[in-house]
Amino acid sequence: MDIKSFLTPDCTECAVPVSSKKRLIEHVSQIAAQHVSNLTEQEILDALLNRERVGSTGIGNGIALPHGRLPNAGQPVAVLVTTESPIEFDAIDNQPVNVFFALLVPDGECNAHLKSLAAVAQKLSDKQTIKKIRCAETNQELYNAITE
Amino acid sequence: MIELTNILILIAAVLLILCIFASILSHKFGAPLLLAFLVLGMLAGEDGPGGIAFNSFDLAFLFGNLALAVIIFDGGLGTDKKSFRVSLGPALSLSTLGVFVTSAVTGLAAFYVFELSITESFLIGAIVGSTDAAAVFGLLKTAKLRLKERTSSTLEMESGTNDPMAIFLTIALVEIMSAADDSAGLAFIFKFIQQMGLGLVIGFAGGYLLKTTSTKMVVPSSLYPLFALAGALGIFGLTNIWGGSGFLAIYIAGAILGNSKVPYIDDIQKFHDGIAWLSQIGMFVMLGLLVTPSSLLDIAVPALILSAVLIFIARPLAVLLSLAPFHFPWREKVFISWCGLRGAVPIILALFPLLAGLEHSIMYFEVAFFVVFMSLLVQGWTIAPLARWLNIEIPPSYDPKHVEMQLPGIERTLYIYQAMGDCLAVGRIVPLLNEQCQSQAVGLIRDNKLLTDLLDERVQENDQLLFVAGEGNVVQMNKLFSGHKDESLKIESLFYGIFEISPESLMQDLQSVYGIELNEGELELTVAGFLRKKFHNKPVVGDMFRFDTITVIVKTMQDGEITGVGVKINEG
Repeated sequence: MDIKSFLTPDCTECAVPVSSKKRLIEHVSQIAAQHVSNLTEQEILDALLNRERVGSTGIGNGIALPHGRLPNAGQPVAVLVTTESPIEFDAIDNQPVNVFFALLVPDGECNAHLKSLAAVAQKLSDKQTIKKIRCAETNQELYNAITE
Repeated sequence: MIELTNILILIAAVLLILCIFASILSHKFGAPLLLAFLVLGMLAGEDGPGGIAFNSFDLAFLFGNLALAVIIFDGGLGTDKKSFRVSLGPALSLSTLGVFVTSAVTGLAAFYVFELSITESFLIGAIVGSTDAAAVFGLLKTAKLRLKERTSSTLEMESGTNDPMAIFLTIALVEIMSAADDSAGLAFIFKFIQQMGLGLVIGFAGGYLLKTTSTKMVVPSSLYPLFALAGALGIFGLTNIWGGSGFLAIYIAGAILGNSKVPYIDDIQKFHDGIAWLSQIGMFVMLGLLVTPSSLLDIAVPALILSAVLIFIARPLAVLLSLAPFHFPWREKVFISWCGLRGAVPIILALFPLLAGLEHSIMYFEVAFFVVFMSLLVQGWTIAPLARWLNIEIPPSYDPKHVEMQLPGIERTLYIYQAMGDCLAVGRIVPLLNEQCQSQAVGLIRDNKLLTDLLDERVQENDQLLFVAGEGNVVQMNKLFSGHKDESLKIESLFYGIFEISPESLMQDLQSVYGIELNEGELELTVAGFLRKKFHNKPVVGDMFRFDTITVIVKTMQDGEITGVGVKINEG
């Protein structure tokens, strides 16, 4: 899987100054909306919040993978952000989260794209990668850390 | 005489020590422990280097019965009432219908491979009809396997309850054969009702009497376990004398006592674990001594065929029929079929015809011995790899070392946990821990000092925390205080998936996120309700349902309710 095929450098942002789960999801939706032509920020936000309602996407070790299914999107869009300070996200291990990889998948090929999510999780479980991500000081550094 | 006594004591002690060391070897090679005891007995016996000629069938019968009673009582003590939810029905079906089918099919095979009458053949079938709990569980424990509750508690309860059935079949057939009358059919049914009925009644009555007396009497604490043992053996003896099944009675009495809150119940259980081990070792070594290995050669070929029929045909067929009404996943059925290990019971049962003075008695004994040996060898050695191959293992549960003390008067327990370096609790403030495990921290011991003002305290490595909490909160506390958090999380996410969802969320929400296909009427269900429906109202941890894109898995349960569900994204 090539992360570059759905993550662009301008969807990568480090040290975002948000302090709550809600604000974080809003911020992610905002970034994503700029890259999906026929969907509004609100629709993306709803998709992500729908998923969080079922249960937190915090997978432990300070990492979360918010995701959602978009009815009219042509292709998958990913957003990678880190936050200035860790925020409470009701994660699986109850630890606060500071690395967020969000993935919005188009309706049709849901299955194929969800697999990318699993692959991202696999990549983030690598200690070196996650260390580089947390240390990244610019957006470009952050992008390099995940795509290397 | 004095010298002889000393020599006997020395021999017994050396054998016991050898057995205990054998457990280390057996652990290393994955060999069934009981097999090691049996072999040790044979080595000590007349054909081995030990050269001890032990041929007293009477003595073996006495000790064998006593040891069996103790082992079955211990099994009862360890039977958790909670496991009745998923395993009572299946286990009872296996231990009645299952034993009957196993015995009948094996008996039929015996008719073809030995030159015996049909009744004599069925006697052989009955003798090898029941499974051995200790054999199965010892193996699973040494292999560090955690199975789904449905499988493990069914197997456990089956092996605890199927001995009375096999014993009944054997005794009834022996009696019919010694009396040689023709009205066998009716007598057989009457005998069955008498044995099981009396066993049930005296078991329940005796168990309650034992429980009430233990609660009310005041004696030194070390005497409680002894009282339990004496009471149980009393129930066993009395039931047998009155013509009931003593084994059924002692199992029920054990289950009643084990599930009660009588004083020192932990001590009672530990004590009986110990003497059950001693009984196990003593019985197997004795049976190894009793048999004359060289004479087994004469019956080797037909006995080998019989073992194969038992393992590959009779047991699987019995499991298939007995479990038909209970909706077990096929993998679990295969595993239960293979877990039909035979233990000491068949060898002891083979002594019944011998003592009754029936024809071919020695042969029954040798055949039973051979079958048990083969079963331990073939099935015993392959159970752990099979469980892995069938993928029916579930990740180990969190179980960090901690101290528990029931607080008198209130329904609360005091728990003391130590925060290991790499557990989740380290670094959290105490009020947050309180919230996460719904408990009340009442003290913290750091550097040998007790701190009680905990509002702003952050947990540090090696702190000891004192919590007052209800029993249900222990799961969460165990998770927070288990070491190796990264590794545990990895193992868990591999099995249960990386996400956890609320069991109360709706299936239609899950559908809108993952595009899963649902049948009519399933949209309005909660995730827990959906899983309950898919697993016939008896889900257990580890049960999973696979959709096109994702798999949902029961992750945690409490008091029969699903409390956590994992979501795994399907690969391939």
